[in-house]
Amino acid sequence: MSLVPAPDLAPGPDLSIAEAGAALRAGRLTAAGLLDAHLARIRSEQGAALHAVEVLLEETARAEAAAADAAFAEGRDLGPLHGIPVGVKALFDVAGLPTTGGSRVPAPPAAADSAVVARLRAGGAVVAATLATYEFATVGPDDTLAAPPARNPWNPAHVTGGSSSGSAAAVAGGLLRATIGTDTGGSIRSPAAFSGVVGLKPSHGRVSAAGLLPLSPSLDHAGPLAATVGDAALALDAVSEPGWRPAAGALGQGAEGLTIGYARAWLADDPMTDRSVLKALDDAASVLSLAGARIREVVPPEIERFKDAGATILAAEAMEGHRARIMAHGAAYGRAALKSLLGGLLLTAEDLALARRAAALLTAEMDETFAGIDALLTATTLAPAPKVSAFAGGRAVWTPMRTLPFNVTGHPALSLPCGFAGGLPIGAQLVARKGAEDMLCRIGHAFEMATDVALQRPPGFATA
Amino acid sequence: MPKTTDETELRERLAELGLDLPEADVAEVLDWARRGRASVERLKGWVAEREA
Repeated sequence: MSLVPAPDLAPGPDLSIAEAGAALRAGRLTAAGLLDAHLARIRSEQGAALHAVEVLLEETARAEAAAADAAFAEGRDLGPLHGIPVGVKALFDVAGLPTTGGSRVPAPPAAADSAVVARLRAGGAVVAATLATYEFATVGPDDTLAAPPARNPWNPAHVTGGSSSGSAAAVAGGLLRATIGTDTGGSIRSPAAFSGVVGLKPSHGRVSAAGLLPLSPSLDHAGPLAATVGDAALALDAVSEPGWRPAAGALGQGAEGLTIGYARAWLADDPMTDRSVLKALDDAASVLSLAGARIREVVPPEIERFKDAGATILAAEAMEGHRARIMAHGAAYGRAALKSLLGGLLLTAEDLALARRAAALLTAEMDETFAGIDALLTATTLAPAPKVSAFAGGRAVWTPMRTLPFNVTGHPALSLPCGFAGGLPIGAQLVARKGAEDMLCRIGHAFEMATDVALQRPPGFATA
Repeated sequence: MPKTTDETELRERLAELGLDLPEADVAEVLDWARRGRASVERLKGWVAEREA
């Protein structure tokens, strides 16, 4: 499979959010027209084959697009996503719709919008769809569930990654420019890496979890997946709680004079690391160096302790959170999700307390790693996307990643495409101090400007 | 073959949840649970060392 050159920008879905926003404000594009273009892509044979969309919210989306156009006509500007179609993972409450979590387990219609959906709508965004997820944000893909798993546009024989599978596939396939997913151990960043898009897990608490179907509240984060770093920054700012520095505030300032710590040993010392990933990360470090950043190797706290603490917290909290639902509807769970949740059944409150103490110690050690550097560079996943066939029958397969540490510590982390191996995308991960999403987006944007990686499109998805 | 303490406890917990899983699934859940126990044991030593 060969990479194809990026197409010329077409009106509508291939415009960046900033470009589409400028066209909307100048009257060269309407929100209704933009929505139509996205709906056509979602409904196309190619788009439908991705199984990215759980529920298409056409009726409410059309009303929101009409309201967005009316607001522009009245001179009201509601923010950077005003008039832009977006989607949300099927874990966020959307008023009137069951929050399925991608499960057969029955769910009542949500009484109100989640905080994320409310912020999107208040900011003039057009909420066009709910998107596929691994069941209850646990493990997958599971081909025994009611809906088929989302497909990776780069190669449908390989997984999208998860659990924000539909959120990644929708952006990678050009169906939506930005989506909102969740990340408890890497569920925004790993599908972003596997699917060749940008994923931004913000600082813990920056995006409200109100109305989000929880997995592990200590580790759950909500944030955007998007086609570019600039799009991700604007989408994050649209759903952030008040008081945080704008993620888009430093876009375009470049990487010159910044110091980036490269956690190379976290990759090179692990036999699970695919050589293509290490080479892509070495190349990414070189690109940032050529862009004017100082690169120095750093050694963060040992990865295994993050896995121990994070896995214990996740397993204990997830099992407790699902206990009543399992008792009522255990038979309706998918096999893979149920087994993964039950893995926490023998953990005690004391075990959870111990893991939280470890997390606090690890967070302090990670904070020390940031002394003298502006950001940390490492890989998102240690290998490109594995084959779907490896997961047949709901089998759980371990995909090695470097994402969980930053759920444990709450530091913001950005995954962005940095190369390809065998036609599959590879993701670099940038991490910054808490609240410094603007630094992440500044460096990520500088990397995008210095390479053509972000311009690549999956073969066959180059044009509408 | 006699059941281990953790296997007995797991089966009791599964019964409390009203679950009757195939044996292969019980074995897999037990494996997950043992990995979780091993993580906790490692953390005990690590935290004690750091907090000493």
